[in-house]
Amino acid sequence: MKKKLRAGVFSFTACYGCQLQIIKMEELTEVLKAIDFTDFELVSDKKEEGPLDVAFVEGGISRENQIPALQKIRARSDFLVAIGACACDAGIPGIKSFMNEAEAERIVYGEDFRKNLRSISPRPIDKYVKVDYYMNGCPIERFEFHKVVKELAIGRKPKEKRHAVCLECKIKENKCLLDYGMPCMGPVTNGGCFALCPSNNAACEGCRGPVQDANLPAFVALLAEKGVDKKRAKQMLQRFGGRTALFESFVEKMRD
Amino acid sequence: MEKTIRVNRLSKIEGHANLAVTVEGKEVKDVKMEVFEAAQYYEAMVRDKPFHEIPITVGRICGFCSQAHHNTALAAIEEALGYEPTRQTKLLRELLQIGQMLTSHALHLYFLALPDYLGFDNAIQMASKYPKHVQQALELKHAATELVVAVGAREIHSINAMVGGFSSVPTKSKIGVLSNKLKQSKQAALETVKLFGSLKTPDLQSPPRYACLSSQGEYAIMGGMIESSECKIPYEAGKCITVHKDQYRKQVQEYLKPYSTSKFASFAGATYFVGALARVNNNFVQLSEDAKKAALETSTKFPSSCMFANNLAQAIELIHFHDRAIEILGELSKTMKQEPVAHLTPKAGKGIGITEAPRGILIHEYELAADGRVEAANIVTPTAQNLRHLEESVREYVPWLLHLPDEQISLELEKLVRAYDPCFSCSTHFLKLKLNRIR
Repeated sequence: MKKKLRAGVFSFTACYGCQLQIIKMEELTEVLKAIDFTDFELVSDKKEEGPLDVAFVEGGISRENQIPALQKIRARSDFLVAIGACACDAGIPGIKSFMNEAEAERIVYGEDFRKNLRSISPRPIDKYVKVDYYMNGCPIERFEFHKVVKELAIGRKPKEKRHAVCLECKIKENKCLLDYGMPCMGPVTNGGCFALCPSNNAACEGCRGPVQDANLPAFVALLAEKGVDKKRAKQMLQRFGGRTALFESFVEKMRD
Repeated sequence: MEKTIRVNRLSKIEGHANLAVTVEGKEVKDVKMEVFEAAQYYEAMVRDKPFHEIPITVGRICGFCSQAHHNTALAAIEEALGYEPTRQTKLLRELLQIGQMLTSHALHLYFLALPDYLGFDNAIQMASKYPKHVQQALELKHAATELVVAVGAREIHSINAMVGGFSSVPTKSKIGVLSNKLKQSKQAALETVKLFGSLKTPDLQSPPRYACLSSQGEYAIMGGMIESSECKIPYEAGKCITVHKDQYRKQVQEYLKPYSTSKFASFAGATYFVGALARVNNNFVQLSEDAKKAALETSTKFPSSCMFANNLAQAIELIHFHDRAIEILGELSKTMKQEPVAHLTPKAGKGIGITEAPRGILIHEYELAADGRVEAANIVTPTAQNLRHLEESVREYVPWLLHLPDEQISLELEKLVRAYDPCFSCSTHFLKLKLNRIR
């Protein structure tokens, strides 16, 4: 029997939903045959320092002291997996980075308290460290976590599969929500969720981030046909994946 | 002499924070819950966004309580738009809230709290020595997850619960499957009460004010009046405080402390506790018969002002929420159909939603502009309401522990903190204990 993987699970600015997905896995007992969580704050007091075969990092970076903590995790890990929209793309907390941030801080905490926050503009973790695998989603899909662990356990380096949500809707023979006037982000969003939202008659909200080669000008033109103005189109692109290179460079060039 | 004990990154709670305790001789000088979770800016980030996207956005405040935030925002926004949801929609939302309670309580009880009492570092290690307990935990967790997935289409951050109704609903046959599954896992809930009723906990008395939602004829979770514990005790009736949700700002005051990114809150100017213990204390008579019966068979008397009983209260609620879910599923099994999602016209207005999240009273308030975009939002979370109470309980508890070695003190205080089931991603992450001894 091969030695078990030494793994850590870490959290920065996020909702803990992705870690929760790990604990909630029905296959958890099976996963534990291949992996030892030697550093997993949510479930254990004991933390072993030292090298890790794999680190799973949840959450984006929005506080200065998180940067060195993240770099330390990278330095001790062979393979680093960003788990969830916040770590991969900055996610929902990243919305603040498109606002007047001082104003946002004032709205929630008031002027006097701002100095205590030590908030910095939220960004995905790859602004600060190299990421080996992006496990997209808000939250992550449990089967993908399971798959990644299995591949690592047999010594393979897992690789993401990239295709748009639309492909999965086609396979499932879903009706196209855009045809029904719903502002669905499927055409520009990574699949891997089996088109979960459209399959439930809900427009894709883009939580798995931009799919490579997304045709953004065509997408925004399509939205305009459905009555979505540019300001709203921008908001949609800046909801989960606004701080990814693809969406960021496109939105910068968008004229109102 | 000054001495500092540190437990680096206190674990098994949701978030990052320190607990700093300063002691001079036998006197506790100061207790501070220093929450250093990265601040959250939801109340600002929702501004200028269309109402239909808000509930699913704010569900992302917390993975543990996602459905509760989602439901509370739905209620607030529908009120602002003057829409009353159908009975089926209300029942489905209640099922989501119940699914949330079951998942959150089961995880907290078995994964975060129980290892402390059985002498294990974590639930994974516990599995080999206590396979039965771990089996119970898994059964509860699976049943609750199946319920949430069937109704909300995803384990965390449900996707079909929209302003105006559900865009997809479970089939009648699925309803039958869920009902059978819950009838089985209810046995695990009954065993959980026996287990937590048998744990030895210190008889620590905490500040006595408990508040939760109350409503005639039901164990309120989806709405009602905010009521303080005194309302249920005849000889304390004079101190009873009842607050309609629309008046919450008058009685529930949020304030800030320089050492914490989480807000604090007071109720009618005083420290209070919200959560399972408050609900079981105040609304005991409205629990399901089996929940009441199981509670009465334990040695703990409710109302209880011992915070360690919050764990037992969660276990009791596991039974109650099983019964309530089975009841709702019974009704839906006959009537379930796909109703159209109401298309609501934007208009200016203000709405306040209030529910019982797993950790207690949760309030969301939104002001909408005429075009349906959010102009202002305010969110009051249970953990913010409990922080002051937690500090005061720690203050009460420390003198009991001072004869112990520092490591033991840390462990005991951690147990107390965990009994509160705090959640700092929601209230704004925890824990590093700093004990300053001045001798």
